Amino acid sequence: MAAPNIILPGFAASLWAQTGATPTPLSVANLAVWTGQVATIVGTAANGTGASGLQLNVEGIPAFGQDDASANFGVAGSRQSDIIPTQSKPTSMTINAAWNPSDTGLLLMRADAYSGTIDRTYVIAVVSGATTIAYAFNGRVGEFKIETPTNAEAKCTFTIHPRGNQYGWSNT
Amino acid sequence: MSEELQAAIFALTETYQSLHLVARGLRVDAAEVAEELAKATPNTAEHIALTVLAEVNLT
Repeated sequence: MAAPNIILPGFAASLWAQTGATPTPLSVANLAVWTGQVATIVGTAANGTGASGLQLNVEGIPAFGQDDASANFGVAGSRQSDIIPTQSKPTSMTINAAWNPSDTGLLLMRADAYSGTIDRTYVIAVVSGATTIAYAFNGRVGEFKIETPTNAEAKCTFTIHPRGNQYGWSNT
Repeated sequence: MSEELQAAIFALTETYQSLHLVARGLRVDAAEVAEELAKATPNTAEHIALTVLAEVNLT
């Protein structure tokens, strides 16, 4: 099936994580394979099978992709200077979620943050009817904070740092 | 399929490094890659590995 061919609303996106305390993340090639790979992490709500994944109940999906990095050059005598892309890192994702101390997904993120070395496959799935476009990546959690203000609900914040080059696009 | 190409596909489907970076270090026959790519099923890890090998093995 082809990828959705419409402009997707932001609220159609959901975040999924591989389950297990010490998961084996998908290899880079498999991060771009929907059937039997990415689909196993994405739940049925987003047209996957969800056999080895769970949804992270987050407030919103932050920007994801690649940061910018560049070098500037000036050449004497030339009217225009030059800006050249250089090696850049994947965008770190700082995520807010309502804090439920018994939420399985949040407990996984908390344990990953304490460890700092657990690689896990995450998937951002954007759904349009029966079709889904999925961005899968491997990442580590680098932060887990809880805020409990007296005038609002408790929130937790965690940051996923995607590993370099470990991403893939796939669709139903 | 030759053993070299099988080993290259295995390396590419298992790696956690940049596919293009790994593929540059794998010596395979470009004609065989093209032949196998035509037969491979799209949206599989093997197809992805062959696509990357085809991109870096132009001769």
